[in-house]
Amino acid sequence: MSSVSTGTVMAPRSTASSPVQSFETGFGRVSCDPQAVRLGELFVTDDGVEVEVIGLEPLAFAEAPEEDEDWGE
Amino acid sequence: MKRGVTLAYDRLRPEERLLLHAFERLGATVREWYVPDLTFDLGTGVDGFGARMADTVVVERCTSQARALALSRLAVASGAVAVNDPSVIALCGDKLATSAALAQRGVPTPRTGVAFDLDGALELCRLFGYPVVLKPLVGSWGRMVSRLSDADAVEAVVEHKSVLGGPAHKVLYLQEHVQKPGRDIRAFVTSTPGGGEDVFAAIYRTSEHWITNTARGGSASACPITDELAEVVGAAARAVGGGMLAVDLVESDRGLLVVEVNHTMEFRNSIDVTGVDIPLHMARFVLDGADA
Repeated sequence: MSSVSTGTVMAPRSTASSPVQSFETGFGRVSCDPQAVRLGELFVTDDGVEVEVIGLEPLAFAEAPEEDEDWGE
Repeated sequence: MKRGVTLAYDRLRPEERLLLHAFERLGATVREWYVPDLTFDLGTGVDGFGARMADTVVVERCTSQARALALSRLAVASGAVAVNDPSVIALCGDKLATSAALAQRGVPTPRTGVAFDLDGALELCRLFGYPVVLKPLVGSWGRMVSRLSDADAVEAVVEHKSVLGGPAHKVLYLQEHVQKPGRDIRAFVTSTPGGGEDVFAAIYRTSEHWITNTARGGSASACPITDELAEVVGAAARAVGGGMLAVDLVESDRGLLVVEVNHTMEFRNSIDVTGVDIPLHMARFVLDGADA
């Protein structure tokens, strides 16, 4: 499991019956189902920042890294 | 032999979500590996997975080419089947290796050459005629691809690469600039059990920019799979060793020319416009291999 050294972890803002909840990440808010997210999953916050899931228990986000030289298809 | 399926990834993009959903629709259980967290002991495999590696098909979906190649090599060394095979990833992840494989098999490509210093680069440019295209050996999404209009531009970029680049940038990979009709073609292909290729979807990528990647803002539309397209794409796939691939081509007055072959292709923009369930096709290809 990734260590949670960056990013911001917050309690869910909504606990309605829908599994989708809203989370404050420190870079804006994302909506996701915390039971379904996976490490490394990418989201774009309502502030337009790409964030990456870096921890699941507790759920933690960090700003997604910039493109690296060997990234591709 | 019935094998289990493992999807290995480092960034979970929409493509990986779509693939997982496709496997689910086919009733397949898929193990997931978040590759940055893995340790891999060549004696015991991943996380003690050990002997069971031989019962696994590893679907490699890493964004990092270095990680992709390492993971697939380790998986195969431990007895697993990797999609794609590390030999295919090694070829497709290096533009020069791809070009060499395509040339060896007579697959049509833009005129391509390599130089190791400025004088050699200028000589190739003189042979190809300006503008020329200079590309890094490793990279994707049109990153660091330069269209150079004259010798001054070549001198400037080669000097930058020489001073700022790593060892790989000392190999200057140059291509003729093909006057394409504002678009290129991406075709999706899988190998078939009989040794053939199934070209199952294709898109045009259209842009006002000379780099037409959809990752750079190019728009996707359906492209008919003509006999010529199927033939050239099939030949390109065979040349790199086959598997589950996307071939990029340009239209020219010499016919279709293969620009590159992608081993971990993105496809999110290609499903709606082609009407082809690309992730389902890919999942079926993997499961067919798992049952073989």
